[in-house]
Amino acid sequence: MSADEHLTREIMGNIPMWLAVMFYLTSLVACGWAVLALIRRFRQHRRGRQALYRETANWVATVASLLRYLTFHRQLLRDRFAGVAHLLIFYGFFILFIGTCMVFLEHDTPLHFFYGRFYLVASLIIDLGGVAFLIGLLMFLYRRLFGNSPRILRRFYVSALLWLLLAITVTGFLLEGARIAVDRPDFERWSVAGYAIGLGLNAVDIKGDAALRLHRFCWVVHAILCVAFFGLLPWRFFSHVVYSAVSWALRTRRPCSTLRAVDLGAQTHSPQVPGASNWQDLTWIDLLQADACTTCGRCNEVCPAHTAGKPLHPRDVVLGIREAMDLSESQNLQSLINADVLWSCTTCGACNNACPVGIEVYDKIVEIRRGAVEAGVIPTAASACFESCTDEFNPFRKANADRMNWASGLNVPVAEEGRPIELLYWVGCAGSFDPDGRSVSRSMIKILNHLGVSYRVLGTRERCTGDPARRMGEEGLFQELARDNIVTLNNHGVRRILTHCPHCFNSFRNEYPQVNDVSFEVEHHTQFLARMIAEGKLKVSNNVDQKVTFHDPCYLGRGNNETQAPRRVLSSLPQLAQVEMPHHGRESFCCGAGGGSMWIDVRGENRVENIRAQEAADTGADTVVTGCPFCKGMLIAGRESLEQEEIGVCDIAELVVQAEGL
Amino acid sequence: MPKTAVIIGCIDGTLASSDRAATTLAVNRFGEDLVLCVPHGEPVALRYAVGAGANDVVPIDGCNALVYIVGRGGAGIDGDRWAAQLATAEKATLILDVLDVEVWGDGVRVQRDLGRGVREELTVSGPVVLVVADDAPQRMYVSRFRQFTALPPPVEPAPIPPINWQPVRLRAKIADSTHRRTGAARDRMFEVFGLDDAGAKREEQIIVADSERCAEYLLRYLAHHGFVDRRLDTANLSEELSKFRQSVATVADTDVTPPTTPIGRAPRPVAGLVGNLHRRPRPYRPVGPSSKLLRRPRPYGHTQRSRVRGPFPVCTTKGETNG
Repeated sequence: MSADEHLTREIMGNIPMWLAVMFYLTSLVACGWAVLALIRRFRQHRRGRQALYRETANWVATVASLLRYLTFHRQLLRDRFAGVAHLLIFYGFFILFIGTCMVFLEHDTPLHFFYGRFYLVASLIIDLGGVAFLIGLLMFLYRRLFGNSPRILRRFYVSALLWLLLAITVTGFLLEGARIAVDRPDFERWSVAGYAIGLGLNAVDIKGDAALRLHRFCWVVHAILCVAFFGLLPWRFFSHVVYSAVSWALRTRRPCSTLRAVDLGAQTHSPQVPGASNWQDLTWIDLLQADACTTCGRCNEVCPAHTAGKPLHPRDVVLGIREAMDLSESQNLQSLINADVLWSCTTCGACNNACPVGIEVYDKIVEIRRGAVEAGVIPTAASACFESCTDEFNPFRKANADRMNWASGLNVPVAEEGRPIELLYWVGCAGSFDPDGRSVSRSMIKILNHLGVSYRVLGTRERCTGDPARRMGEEGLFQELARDNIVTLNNHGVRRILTHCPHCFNSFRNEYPQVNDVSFEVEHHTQFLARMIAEGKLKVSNNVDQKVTFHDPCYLGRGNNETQAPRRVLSSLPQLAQVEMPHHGRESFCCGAGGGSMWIDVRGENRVENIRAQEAADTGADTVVTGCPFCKGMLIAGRESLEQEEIGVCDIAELVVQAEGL
Repeated sequence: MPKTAVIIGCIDGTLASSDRAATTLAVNRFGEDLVLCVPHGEPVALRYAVGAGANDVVPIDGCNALVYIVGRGGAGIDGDRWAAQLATAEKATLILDVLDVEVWGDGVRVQRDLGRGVREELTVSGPVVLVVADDAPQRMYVSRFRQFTALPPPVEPAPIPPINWQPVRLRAKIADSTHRRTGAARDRMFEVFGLDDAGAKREEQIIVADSERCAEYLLRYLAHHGFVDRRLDTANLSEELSKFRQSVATVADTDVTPPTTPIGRAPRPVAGLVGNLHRRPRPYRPVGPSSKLLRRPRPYGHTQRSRVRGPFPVCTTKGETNG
């Protein structure tokens, strides 16, 4: 026996053998029950469709990403309070778990290591872990009890976990304090919390036999609560402890504006139709992610439709899927998630971006929309939009023959057969038909002609990229349009595409490669202008004596991570002052046009575009500049709601034309 | 529930909203006892209707329905003429501009549009031909996936004899429009059938021939004027013509004696035959496409409201070409 072997504690001291055996047996049963329930749930997940496209083939990178996520909690810390609370709980739980394992190994295996200096240091760390755990729990409980954040889900099962964990922690500390209070050895000062509680117990005259009785009582209560925790682990909110990390590890690496690929060819030969009408039509990862939801409500907080008082609550969509799994084998999703909820989504991707466990919320909404489209249960406006895309190749219900009317009075070179195109200026449907978009197209033509760049437009051969159709759930129409466009682009030997529409940009860049092999590069006009300015080809000389704020289009900033190019362009304009809105960059707020909301209007208490226009006006800017024709149109509409219509709205290309005096 | 046939087709290759509405009404109201007829056999229309749930596809003469729900494309691009012919052949009530229909006892109850927001409800028993309005509210959207995967029964192409390319001169007349007062469907139909308000029939204005023969004469006429290539492969045409055969022909000929005129002779009027019509067509001068016949695109850009059609090079300013 070494000299410091007395520096340890008796494990399971004061606990009768039968109690210990019972604890082990019930723990085993509870853990077995939990494992069986998890396996049963996992089988339910497997009943979902196969995930056609995952980017998790690189397991080393996946595990590294998971470890980074767990270690630094960077995603969670975007909400400082909740992130810190969760960090404390996570590390506290981890340390307590390791401590419990050490105690188990010391007591129930031939290993003997829990003594001496190691014991003292371990006691200190475990106690500090316990304190951190307790503080984290108290922070969450404080927010739940006294906070007024609308995103808190006030359901019994969420609170139950917090209270259960709090009870386990408190009884654990009391247990330790009672053990120390019996004889209060000096070396137990290392167990800082336990020693302090022991002192406290002694102060209220709990010592000796009383302390032993308290110790046994606390142990029994602590053991029962721990067994309950094991057994409840697969139940509702509790299960996020298991699924969240898996969900994060399996999260998509796609940009959040990009929907997952759908292999319609494979589905043509199977009885499955695209989309989800019941939970089994979703992919198994969708189902797993539904169980991983921590109900934190960050998706609700950032959702523009929710903010505008529309009936969409992204969290409820995810919880609805979970509920459908709980209810029955063929629970119809549309009976749980009604049409107004479904068609309120602007597919801005803010929910996906905000989710701390990597749940792809809007992919699920689009999947359910696809189910609705296949069932023919869609709003008339959506149907009209699809019909227009089918018949006239644009969603604006305009004759395709009028596609080049925007170019009246301009010298616009149109593509010719047999002549390869080095740079294609893709005008897009909004740029061709929408009055607000047409002025952007005209500005771009002026800039291109001024630069002397060799470019062409497709004219009436151009078709909608299919973005609105895809967002509204008409996957077949999207793929048909995408294939047609790819054939046209290949026939014209297009090498580079320049577009001012972030939706077209996103389709070309991220979604067309899902449909077919493409050989072209695509550039957004903000990137093009920034490049031209950087290369010294575009020199803006006229003063733009304005204070402007930039509205980041979702499909450019959040979707394709391009937030700097437009700001570089703006900063190059002389005498121009930039101010930022509270929501900017990747955290930008949608204009309200995405996901087919340009055509489908679900009423809410407010309108998304009004909220955004107000936010822009509140900055005190003279003009709100954007890089998307849809955003421009919506902001102009939103501006009308302002009490004082003093803020101007323009596209960045128009501002450059104004500055250049073209 | 009365046996129902929905008859749809395409106009310029696209399915009109009226045909979509006709299909939707038929599927929603008569889904259990519904047959589909696409007289011209356009795959777009077939796939749409089959995707919508109308599985039983029959030729027009196999319908034997009590209720015919007809879309604009099914009725033909020349207005409601064919629907009127169908109604005549079936001794059915013809109702135009139908917005909604429902089963009502032994018959149907129809809501039709009278214009300017006025609607009329009619209850009809017995055979009825309903031509659905363009702006009928019920239009089911059939997804592209459903249309891709819809497997309509194949339309059997019937062999056709080779076309006799001898020149033919048709003496088509433009119907007298001086009697037209309102331009309403009723007036147009009266005009086409040579009827006046009293209902008197000017039979001499009606030319009778089966559709196949009409088509052949039209082809010969067009070929003679250089619009159609005479080397047109009739084998490829057979499918198209067989679909056409399934259309109006059988219906149009039911009330009249089948023509016995051999191929090569011109269509003849029903009554009051004019001897001149029996003459062989006078041959035209064998000339190529004359410059007078060819229509050239109008110079574009002289007004701001000019429209650009087709994949022509775009002229954006007067006298200035692009590219």
